[in-house]
Parts: sequence; C-alpha cells; structure tokens
Amino acid sequence: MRFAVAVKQVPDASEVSVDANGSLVRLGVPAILDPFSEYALRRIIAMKEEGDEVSVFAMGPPQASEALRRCLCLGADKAFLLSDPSFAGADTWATARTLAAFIGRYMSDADLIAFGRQAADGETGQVPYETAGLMSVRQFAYVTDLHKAADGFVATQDYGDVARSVKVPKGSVVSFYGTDPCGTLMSLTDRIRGYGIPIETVDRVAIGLGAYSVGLKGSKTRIVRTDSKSMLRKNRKVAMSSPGRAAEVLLEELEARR
Amino acid sequence: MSEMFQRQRIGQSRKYLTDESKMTGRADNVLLPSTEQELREILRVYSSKGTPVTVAAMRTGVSGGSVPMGGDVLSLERMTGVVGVGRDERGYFLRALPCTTLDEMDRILRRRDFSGLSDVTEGAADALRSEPGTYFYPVDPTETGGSIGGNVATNASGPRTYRYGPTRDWVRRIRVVLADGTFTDVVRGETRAEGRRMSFSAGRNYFSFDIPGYDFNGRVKNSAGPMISEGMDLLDLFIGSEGIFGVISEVDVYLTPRRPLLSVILFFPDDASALEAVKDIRSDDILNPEFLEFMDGRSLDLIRSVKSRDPLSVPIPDLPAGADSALFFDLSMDDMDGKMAKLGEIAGRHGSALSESWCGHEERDQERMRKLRHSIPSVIFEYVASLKGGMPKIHKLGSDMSVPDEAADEMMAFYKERLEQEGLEYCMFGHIGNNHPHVEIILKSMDEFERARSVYEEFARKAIELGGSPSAEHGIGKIKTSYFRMLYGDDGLSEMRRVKAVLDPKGILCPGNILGD
Amino acid sequence: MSQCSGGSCQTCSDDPDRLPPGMLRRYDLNESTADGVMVWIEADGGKVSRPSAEILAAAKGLTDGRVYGIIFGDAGLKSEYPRIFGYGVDTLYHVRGIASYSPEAYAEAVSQVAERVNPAAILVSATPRGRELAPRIASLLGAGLTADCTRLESDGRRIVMTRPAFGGNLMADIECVGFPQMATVRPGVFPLPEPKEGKGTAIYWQYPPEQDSGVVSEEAVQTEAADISDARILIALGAGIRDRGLVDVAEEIAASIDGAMVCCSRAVAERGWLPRSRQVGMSGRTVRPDLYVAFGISGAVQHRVGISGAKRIIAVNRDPEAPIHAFSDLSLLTDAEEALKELRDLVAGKPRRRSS
Repeated sequence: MRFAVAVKQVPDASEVSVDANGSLVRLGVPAILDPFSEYALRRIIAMKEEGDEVSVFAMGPPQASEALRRCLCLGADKAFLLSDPSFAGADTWATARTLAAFIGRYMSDADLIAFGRQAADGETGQVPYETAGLMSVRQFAYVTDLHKAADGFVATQDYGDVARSVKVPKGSVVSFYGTDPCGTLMSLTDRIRGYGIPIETVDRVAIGLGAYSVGLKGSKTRIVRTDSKSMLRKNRKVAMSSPGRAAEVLLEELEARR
Repeated sequence: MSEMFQRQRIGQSRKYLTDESKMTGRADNVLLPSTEQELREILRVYSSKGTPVTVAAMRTGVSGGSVPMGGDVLSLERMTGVVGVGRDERGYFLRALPCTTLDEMDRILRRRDFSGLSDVTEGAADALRSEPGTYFYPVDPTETGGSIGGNVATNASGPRTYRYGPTRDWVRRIRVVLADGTFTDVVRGETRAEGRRMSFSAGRNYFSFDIPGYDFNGRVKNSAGPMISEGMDLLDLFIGSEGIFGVISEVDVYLTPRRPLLSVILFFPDDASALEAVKDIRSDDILNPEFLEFMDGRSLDLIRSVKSRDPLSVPIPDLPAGADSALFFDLSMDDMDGKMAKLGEIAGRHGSALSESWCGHEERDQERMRKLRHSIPSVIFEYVASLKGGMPKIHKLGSDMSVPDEAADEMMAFYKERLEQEGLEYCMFGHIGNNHPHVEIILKSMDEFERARSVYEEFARKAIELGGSPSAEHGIGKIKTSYFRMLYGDDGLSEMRRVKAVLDPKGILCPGNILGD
Repeated sequence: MSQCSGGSCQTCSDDPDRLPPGMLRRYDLNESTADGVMVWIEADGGKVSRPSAEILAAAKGLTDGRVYGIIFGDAGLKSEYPRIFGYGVDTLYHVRGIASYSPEAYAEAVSQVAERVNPAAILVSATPRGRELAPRIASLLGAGLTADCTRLESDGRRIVMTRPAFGGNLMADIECVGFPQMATVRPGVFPLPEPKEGKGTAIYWQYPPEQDSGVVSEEAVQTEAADISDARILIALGAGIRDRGLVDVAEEIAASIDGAMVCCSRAVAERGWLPRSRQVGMSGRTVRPDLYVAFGISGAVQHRVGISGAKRIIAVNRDPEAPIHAFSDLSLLTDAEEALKELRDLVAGKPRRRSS
C-alpha cells in the first residue's frame, strides 16, 4: 500500500515565551517537525508492512527539509518539499490548493492521505478537510485508531460525544487526533537510514498551479491587524508567608462570591 | 543604626537557614547588599564587630556551604546580572555579578541579547553578536539555577567536566572582597606563589604567607577545597575556597562556541557490558564525547516502574525491552560516518548495537534524554518515599567519589562487593567518564542506615587510597569536613587554618566551611 | 473611447458621469450581491446545541440583511422551530434525507443552500463537527475561512474576524477577500441568549439519498452533565500539581461551593487525571467564570486564550517568573499543592465553625 503523510515545520511552542510587555519572543526558537504531524506519521509507520511505502510531504521554505529529514529518520521512505517563493503567506485555502495539486500530480495512487489534527503554530485544523474537499475524496476526522481492512481501512473516530467505527475507502483523507506527550526518539540505525534518502524539491510549476492560485495571492483571507497585549492584566504579586495564608486569602475570595 | 546596607530579621523564614543539603543552621539577620560598595561596607562593619557572616547566593549546594552556623547570612541575591562582554587572547568572556544564574547567562548567550552590557574590551559585544554561531559557558552543573559566584566558590563541575574540566578552567578573573572590606582583582596568570610563598596586596593591605604543604589532587575530578600546589596561581586559592578567604563580587568566565551535538543513549544488556564499553569509548580518539554518563539496570527498572503507573511522570518514550544498562553521551557532529562506524564496532563488542539506542540533535530530543538522566535521583527519591510506610526515618545516601581511570575497575568492584556483602539495595548512575558514579544507597531501616554510613566511610577511604577524591563535585561545605581531614591529615588542616588566619584574622567569613569548627 | 454608431448619441459624449438613457444608476457588475448571514445549527439529539444558539444570537447584530439557519435532521426537529426563530432566524432551511452526520453530505447540502441564498457570511460553531465541516464547505464554495474566532465585528455586511494566533499570544484581525465570508466561532465567546419563542419561514430541503456512509457502529460517549463553561467559579489545576490525589481535594472544594467546578490545563488532561471536557485553553474550552483560581498553572500561552473572559483570575504558583502572572489579577506566590490542601481544610472546617 502507498501512504502519503502531510507534515509541517513549526516553531517549537515549548520554547516560545512572552516578555514583560506580553510580546511574543520568537528569536532563537528552534523550528521542529510539528508534533501533530509527527504523531500522524508514527501512526502510519506503525501500520506499515513489508512492501508498503510511506511518502511525506511538506510545504515550506528550504529549511523545512529538516522536518522532512526527521520524518525519514522516523521511518518514511520518500520525502517531497513543496517549496517556492510564491507559496509564502498562504492561508489554509491556498495551502490546501497547493497540497491537493501536489497530491494529484505525485501521489494520485495513494491509498491513504494522512494529516495531523492541526499544526501547532496555526492551530486552525482546516487544511486536511479543505484538501479533501478540493480533491473530492472522503474525510475522516479525529481518528484515534486505524487499521487495514479489505478494500481499505477501518477507523475509530472520536467526536467527543460520540465514538464511531467507520469504513475508510482507499484514497481518503484521515486526520489523527492527538500528539504523543512522551515524544519520539530514533535509534542511530534509524538516523543513518534517514540521512541516506534524498529529499525531492517540488516547485509551483511542477504542480501546475498559476501564481494567483498559491501563497498570499491565492489566499482568501487577509490578516489586517495583530495585537499582542490585549490579554495582559494589572497584576499584583504577593509572596505568601505560608500556603495556609494563601488558603485564607482564597477563602475570602470564594466567600465573596458565594 | 544608620548603616548603608539592608538588613532584615530572619524571624520565621527558614529560607536563609538551609540549602539543598536540607541541613538547617541558625542566624539572626540576613544582609542584602545591592552593590559592591554595600558589600564592602557590610564586611568592614562586621569585621570590626567580629560578627560572622555566611555567604549565600542561590543556596543550591548539597554540602551545607551556605547554611549559617550563627551570626548573619550575607545573601548576594540582589547582586545579579551579566554586566559585560570582553575578548582576550583566549577568547570571549562574560563578566557577571555573583548571583547571576547559569540559566540567565545561557539565556543571554542563546538569544545574543547583549543590550545594556558594557564592552570590557572594545567592540567585544558586537563581535560576539556577529559570530556565525552562538557561544556558551561549558561548565554544566546539573543545577543550572545555581549562581556563577557559587559555582566559582565551590569549583562546581558536571557531566561536561569530562571534556571541558571544572569551573576553575574557565575563570578568567574574579573580584574578591576580603574580610575587612578591602578588595582586589585577581586575574589568572598575574599573581603566583613563589614555591609555597604567596604574596599579594589588596587595597592598603599586603599579605604574604605560606600555602599548605600538600598537593591538591588534580588528576581526578575533585572539589575538596582550593587547588593547592607549588607555584600556584592566587586565583586558584579563591576558587573552591567556599567563601572562607573572601567574597566574590564579580566574575569573568570564558565562553566557547556552541557546536552542534548529537545526543546518544546506547543501551546494553547488563551493567558489566556498559562499563566495559566506557573504557573503549574513553580511549577512542574519534568519538571524543562531550560527557559520558552511566545509568545502571536498577535505575532503568525504577524508571520503568514509575512510567508504568504514570507514563508522563518521566516524559520520554518507553525504554526498549532488554535495555538493562545505558550510557549517555554527546558527540560533535563532524565526521559522523567515522564516528558511527566506530561506535557500531564498540557497541557490537559489548552486546549492544547501533539499533539499541536513542539519538537526537534537536533540542527537544536532547531535553528528553537529559530528563531521563536527571529524573533518576527523583525517581529514587519517590521509590524511597513509597517504601517509607511506617518507617519515617528512611532516606537515601549518595556517594560523590572519583578515582583515576586505572583504578576504576577496582573501585567499581569494591562498591559492588561491599554493598552486596551488607545486603544494601542501591542504584548507580552518573559521571562514569570521570569514574565518578553516584552510588545511591536505599535505606530501609535505621540498622541499614548505620551500616550504610560505615560502608560509605570505607568508600571514601578506598577512593583516597586509589588516588581519588572523596568529594568529586559536591564540595566540602559543613557536611564533609571529615573528608578534608581524611585527605590532607591534621597537618594539612592546620596549614589551611593558618592561611585563613592571615586573610580573615577574626574568622568572620563562612565559619564551618572546609575547616570545620 | 468607443462611440455609438452614427455618433448621434449624446449620452456617449465625453462626460463620464452621464448615464445612458433609461439607466437610473450605475451598476458595478463585479460587486457581489451577497447579503445576510447563514448559520449552521448543530442539533445533537434533536436539540439546538448551545454553541449554535450563541452564534444565532450574535448573528442578528452582524448583518443588515436576513439571518438564515440550516439544520439537519428528521421531522422531530419541528418542535425546535419556535426556539430557533426566537434566536433571530428569519429563514430556516431544514435538510432532510441524510440519515446520520456525514461531513461530505452536510457540506454538499450547505453549499447548495448557500448558492441559492447567497449569504454574505456563513458561521459555524467551532465544535468537533463544525471544525471539520466548515473547511469542507469552504472548499466547495471557494470561500475564505477563519478558524476559531473569538470576536466578530461587522459593518452590516463585511465582517472582521478576530482569532488568537501563536497559541493565544497574538490576536489577529482577519478579513475575507470575497463572499461568502466564513468563520468557525469558539463556543463560549458569545453569551447564551435567553430562550424565547419566535416565528419565521421554514423551508424543507430534500437531499438526494446518500450512498452508504460506511459507519460500522456508533457509541455515545458518557459526557458530564455539567459544563465548565457554565461554572461561576473554577478551581484550575496545572502541571505544578504532581500528586494525583489532589484532584479529589480540588473536587471536594468545588463540591462545597455552589457553582464551582474543577478544570485543568492540558498537562493534567494529558495525564488522564481529568476528562478532556474539563480542559481549558486553546485545545480545550473557553470559560468565563466570575473567579478563576489557577493552582500550579505556569500559564503556557495556549492556556491564556481560554481564560481571557474570566472576571477575576488568581494564580497560586511558587515561581515568581511564571508567565501566568502577566494575565492574572492577583498572584499568590506559594506552594500550590500545599495551598490546595489548606484551602480544603478551611472550606471543610467552615460550616463547623459557623455552627458553633
């Protein structure tokens, strides 16, 4: 079987901090493989059997090949970097359009297209379903479990109030629910293998899209303003002589709202 | 009283009376100088009154060095911050106030945030900012919340001492305020003893005295007092002196370029195989790891057992089955092919393989591997707590002994033999590259406590006998003063006291440290 | 400039402001005629969901035109009509023929209706179903979509959508470049309206019988009756709470105070100590209690967005550098675990002291 996994490189959220003015400190924050993407890839790798092939693809600047390299070390067989200056500034629509065009050209025979639930930076969670819509294939969200079955797969989906088990036809888009808080560590053997596989770069022309279909120009939304300070409050810090004293203060606050 | 410094009653706050050793002392007031002037004024006043002061900073020591035994606490907590950047023939250095934490230094260096820092030498900050990569201060005691002043005063070390040596090797200059409030700048290479005669001036004072007659054991990782030797540098008299000769008010430490590193944990089927592999890795000239840490099978078992109850208690992937011992090290990322071939060969020779490993060069991966290593003490602590049940007296006892490479086997065999003879449960992990594992004895009864104490004494004696140190990195403080005597004898102790009497005639500085009562 | 044949037409003279004869005003054919707001009404178990009700109540204020609702289900939903109209819906499209929730079929139906009514905006609640449905609709309509909005402002037609970005560190104002404009809206950001009855037009929309959706089995997950979004007081636990037993301690405190509930940060939910439904923050719920007491929550940026609507926030944390202080009103610097235990003792002891 052929699996395609869409991944993304994101700033490491655990390293992002806020300075005294409430502004975001992004300087020196390392870029990592998105933990949601990594989780999805790991779930696919876990299903992989002899003869199966797992391809990963990411849209991003040339440095994003680092994230793809990690995917290869974690067990992917092929990697494609969708990189073109005109891809910059894409919203979820333009991203989905680019991914769908790529899949159509390079992965049209994929038995499954897997995504993470969302990316840790944008946190929109829209791209998998916009891509599925553009490709006119079925979509399966919040997948907590997936295994092979006759003519495709069977997935378990968690909608919060309902958990359902559903047949997944070949060629569908699935998005996996979670992340692995314990992370992934590769072995030296995995690393050596991953570094031996070339990463193929794919640009706009190669996927056959016009300049007004991708990136900022192809986006359907615009950010018009950003504001980083609106959530700060006038804080008063009090060092407590003991936890008991803190409990007394809290009790007063609770009593006041009884 | 109209003194020019801030003094507070300690009262109910126990914070200033203890450190990470959990030893508790006594003191009346805490003195909180904000500037060097205030610090000097404090010492001048206290010297004339003859009231002792115990110097404290972040209180992260584990030997009671900052625990007061009467008098007042002199807390440098307000003298904090990196103040300058400089560059000399050896390289870049940072100038910092004594209570600057290693974390803070690291933050500034990672972000290259040199705004507000003065140039100690012209253009140094700009030059450092425009270097292609970032720099770091390579001494990495496990406790990065500790202060640079405290690190210098105790000659702190850590895993990377394996490659980079202890704090001492990285100090360029310190400013020392002496007991009477005078101060002097001590720069490496500027003042040396003639034979065993040390002479220097500080303000209006001129000091000349004989240094002790013993030679500090610099062959092994050692934190038992200052590095005394013939022709020694004056700087080395203060480094590791734990505050008994003077108070450090400013420090220059050298930096080195941060290199991309690959962290590796190699798993072995048993402890003996891992320890054999240590020798091969250490003697190899291609691998050259940054540090070399050991985790024994018992430690890994404890990690497995806490993770089976709460997978997030140690946020790392599950340990591979069959991994019953591990070595943890960082490799620089040049010539990876050569290194991998070599490592594969060594692993294969000792029952392991490259596939039996974890590795990563990304910060989050390295952080997970460090978490595994650093969680061992707390996991042991939790295990001990779970045993407590009806026995509140149970605690643990950890060792801090290093020996030369050639004596490593004998020392390891001795640990094993004696602990097994006494039927004591233990875990072993730590700085195996420096033959400095921590042997944590898990005590289940008061009877065991007594036996463990005597075994522990035996370990210290054995380490000294094999040419090692009974206090490799935790310093002497107040808890290990008996080891200082064990190492240097009564003569060494009284010679050291003589030096103390010259530099601090009223004995007001950090009473109890190194020299005992 | 092109001229009319014969050059006799005076209106084609050089005056650009002159209109051709018979034309009362100039039309811009590139200008969309889209108008009104359409809302997908989620109806779990035959009842209008709370997040949908919140959006319906807000929708009226966002448009000069009509509010359209679209709801999926069988005839049993008719009993909900008065309530739906009461929330301000003018025209309700009731889609029948889809047996159970299917994102593909729902999106298809919504886009068919949208093409018919040509709304200026389509709003969908950012619930699990809404979050997968909205992008599918957007892809069918070629619409711009903003995820997880916390504020919507409108001039009657064009909407500025505000959403937290970078884990809640940044509020970004976003506009769509065309119509329809689409957004998913975070549950809890608009107040729940008082239910009242109203009248409007209901239109049935028959969807062609769908193919087999492939659902093998479906099982309702036990959900708690009480929702942290409703709580007046929240006792929140974070990664600083290391002892699992303290969750029970917090529950004891909450149980003794009317309107209080226990919630948590992501770290605690990931440990499985509390259900996901109790998680507050970017990947959890948005809450707006009168009082939010954060025990051992460092205030990772993702948490912040979930609590910005709280009237008063108190942080109990030993670390004076923790980011949570920047967005708390009061910070008590002390051991959170101990403070929690002490508070339980105080709360438990309170009635006894009163009665004596």
